[in-house]
Amino acid sequence: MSATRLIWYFGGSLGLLLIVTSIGGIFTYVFRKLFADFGQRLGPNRVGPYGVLQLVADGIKLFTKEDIVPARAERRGFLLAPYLTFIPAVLAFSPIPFGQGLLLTDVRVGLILIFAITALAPLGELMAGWASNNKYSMLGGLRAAAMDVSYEIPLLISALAVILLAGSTSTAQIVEKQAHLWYFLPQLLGLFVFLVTLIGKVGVLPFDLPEAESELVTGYTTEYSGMRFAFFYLTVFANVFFIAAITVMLYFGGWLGPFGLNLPGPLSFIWFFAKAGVLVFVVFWIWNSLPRVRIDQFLNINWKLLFPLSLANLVLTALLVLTGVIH
Amino acid sequence: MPAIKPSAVPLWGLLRGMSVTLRNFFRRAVTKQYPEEPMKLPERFRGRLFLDPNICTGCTMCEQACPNGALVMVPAEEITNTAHPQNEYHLFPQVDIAMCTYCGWCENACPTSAIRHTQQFELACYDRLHFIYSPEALSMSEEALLAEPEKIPPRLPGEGAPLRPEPETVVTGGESAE
Amino acid sequence: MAAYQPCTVEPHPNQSDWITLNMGPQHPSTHGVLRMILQLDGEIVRQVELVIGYLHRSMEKMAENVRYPHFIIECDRADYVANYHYEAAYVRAVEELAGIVPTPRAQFIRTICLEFDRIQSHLVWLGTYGLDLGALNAFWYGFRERERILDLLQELTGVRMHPNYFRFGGVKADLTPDFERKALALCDLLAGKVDEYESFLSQSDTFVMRTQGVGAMSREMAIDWGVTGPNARASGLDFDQRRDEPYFAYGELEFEVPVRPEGDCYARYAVRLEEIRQSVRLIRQALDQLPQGPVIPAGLEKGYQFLVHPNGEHYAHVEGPRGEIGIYLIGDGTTFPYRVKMRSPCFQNLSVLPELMRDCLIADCVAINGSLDLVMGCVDR
Repeated sequence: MSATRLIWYFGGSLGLLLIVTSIGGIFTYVFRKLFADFGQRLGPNRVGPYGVLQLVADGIKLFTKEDIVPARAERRGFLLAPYLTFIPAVLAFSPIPFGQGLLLTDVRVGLILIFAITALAPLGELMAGWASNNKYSMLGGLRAAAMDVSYEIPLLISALAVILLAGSTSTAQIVEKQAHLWYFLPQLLGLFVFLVTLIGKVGVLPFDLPEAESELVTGYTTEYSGMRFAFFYLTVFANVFFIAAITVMLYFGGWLGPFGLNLPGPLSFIWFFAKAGVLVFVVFWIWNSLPRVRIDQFLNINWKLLFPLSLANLVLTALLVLTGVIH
Repeated sequence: MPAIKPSAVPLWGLLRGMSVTLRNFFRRAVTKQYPEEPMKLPERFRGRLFLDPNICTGCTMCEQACPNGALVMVPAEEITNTAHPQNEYHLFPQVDIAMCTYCGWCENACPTSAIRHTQQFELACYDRLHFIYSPEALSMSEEALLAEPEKIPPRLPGEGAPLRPEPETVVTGGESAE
Repeated sequence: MAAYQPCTVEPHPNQSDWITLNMGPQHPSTHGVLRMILQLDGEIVRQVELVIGYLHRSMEKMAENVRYPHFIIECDRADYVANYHYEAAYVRAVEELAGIVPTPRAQFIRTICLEFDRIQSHLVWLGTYGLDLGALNAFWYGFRERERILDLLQELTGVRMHPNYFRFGGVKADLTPDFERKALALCDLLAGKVDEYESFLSQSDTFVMRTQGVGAMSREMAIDWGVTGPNARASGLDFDQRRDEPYFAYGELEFEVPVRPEGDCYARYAVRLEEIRQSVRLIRQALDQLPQGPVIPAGLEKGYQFLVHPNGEHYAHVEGPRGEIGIYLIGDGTTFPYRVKMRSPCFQNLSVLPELMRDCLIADCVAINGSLDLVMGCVDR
């Protein structure tokens, strides 16, 4: 491996870490502002103009807070768990093209790599839940694991339909194949299943069962404080961005502009982020509108509704591709 | 009246719920930014008590009406009370506003409306003693009081006595055993 | 007398894998300081034991040591969400025992206050119930309108929450000059907003999934446990003191009592939402029919209230937002009550909770607990 390649990987990884962390941080502010707007309130407005420096204030607060480890917690697991949830959330972005050529790992199995990485997330959540030695945490961790594992299936099957259309698992190629037709048009059903399962997998309202603050206090993050809590918090918001990024990539033409209004080369990231921004708004909107479902209903929705729908969508897509309607 | 019932079409209710939040998203915020935006308090607001010494007759009705003893009558020789010479003992109310429940009974019981509630409610201070408003302090506005804080110290039983007597030097169990 | 026994729930002997979970007294959704000791089998609740008393302020004993009017202030603080209703029950008990006849205008003003109080109490419930179920914005919407009501009542009584407004024989002060106009405007606003709440929650699929068929209480169960108020009416028990034994101005006003047969959380929600509509209707009528005259009879103004000295025993009740609020009063002819017993609707409503929660999920626990609209201040007194 050449030196330039090494530098590219190290520099790129560092850059990705910074981008995802700062986007996650900014989203905490955006979320609070939007949450306030949905409730006819003002939200953060004390630190800086419109409270934009709230993020800095929060950061300082979380940095200087005491890092409490409960006396009877499983110490190593407790200390390790925040990183184990945060790292997959960042890594999952590595094959996602933010713009033309703006992707860290352009591998042929990019999409599969993404799902493989996200499958690691329950490990950290389960570990946090178990190591906290708190019953609420444990229930939260178990819920998180159950949700992640079961929602993976319709998620992958609906993504499989996109792979069928694109004929490739390379993330860059999937985007390029959408030059003529964004896949949300032939994949409306798939998009629905994909978004719902992804929201469920990431665990934001109405599916934030692992953290359900009115039931489990805050689930597996109950015992965490200071920066370790901040990692969990950032993970949630990084995941919200992940929902938007991967949906844009698979269904809304990634960096491509609408009606062929493509921007040249790396500048195309503007389209990507514009589309992702709209989707993030939709996710926050849903977050602010819907009551939480129950754990058994949640799994029922998955197995009795989303799973059959995703299969039907896959068969339908296969037929479309075979008959040559879409190519 | 139409009965409240769930919608028959799946997801339709969800979209209706989301439309409500979206409608509220575009409405203006209803919250008030308190220190910058002063609150509009009604006429009858029950804030800090105010005493008009000129019409106080010293009848002690307010003291009897006070449910928890926050208001006590104290002699205040310095207050000249020309309008009502019948207050011959110079008795005036003194209020511990930290204990006051703002129930309005003293105002309600006063036959001459000498004691009444004001719109003043920002009463934080650093010393608990300053919560005890002497008759002089009660008859001043809060702004005037801030300018002359020496007016606040109350009439306590015995000159210079602390608000609550200090407990005797406590000997902990461990030390006494030794 | 037996010594105090610390509360212990032994796990079922054959179920060593049950988990004991302490929900509360400090938990986001126990609405105060209720402690539930849950025996969990996985996520399924097998046994519930309730522990109360964390907010006990010995109100009934305090009543014996203050003069009659002073206890009105305590009444405000018993149920701190619906302040006017305890006041109304106590004032009514003293009046009926002392033979005081309230003035007609005061009766109407009281009715208006009580109905506004009922609405704001139901709005607090709606908001916190939405929060329990994860509909975060229901909380802001409910409290937004509640604040309008409190602002209006503040103009009338002087404070937002602990009004000390009712007097034996009347009310403390007459309506402010523009009260009627503001109240009617607020009624119009509330009527529109109830539709908004309804479209926000009533048909939302996730809300229906969480509430329909959950925590079903049969009519017999409601009667057996002494459940009253909207909880009982949601179980098909057609019982409302305002209609059945009218007090204040309710006898002259027209309204419907919403009753639902299902008895589940959704029915309780629907009944409360309907009650807000009916309350708006009552306020409009009361404002329309408001008679002129004094608001307090002669001889009871101002400090003369302290001279009330009833003799005998009497039980008076009003229909609170949570059920029947009763005051059993014994007077011995002095200006101090001899005994005041407060019949708390929440205490009875709370007692049915373990029955409703058996074999449900933790999430349902929260949904059921929230749907009963418990205020721990009212339970513990």
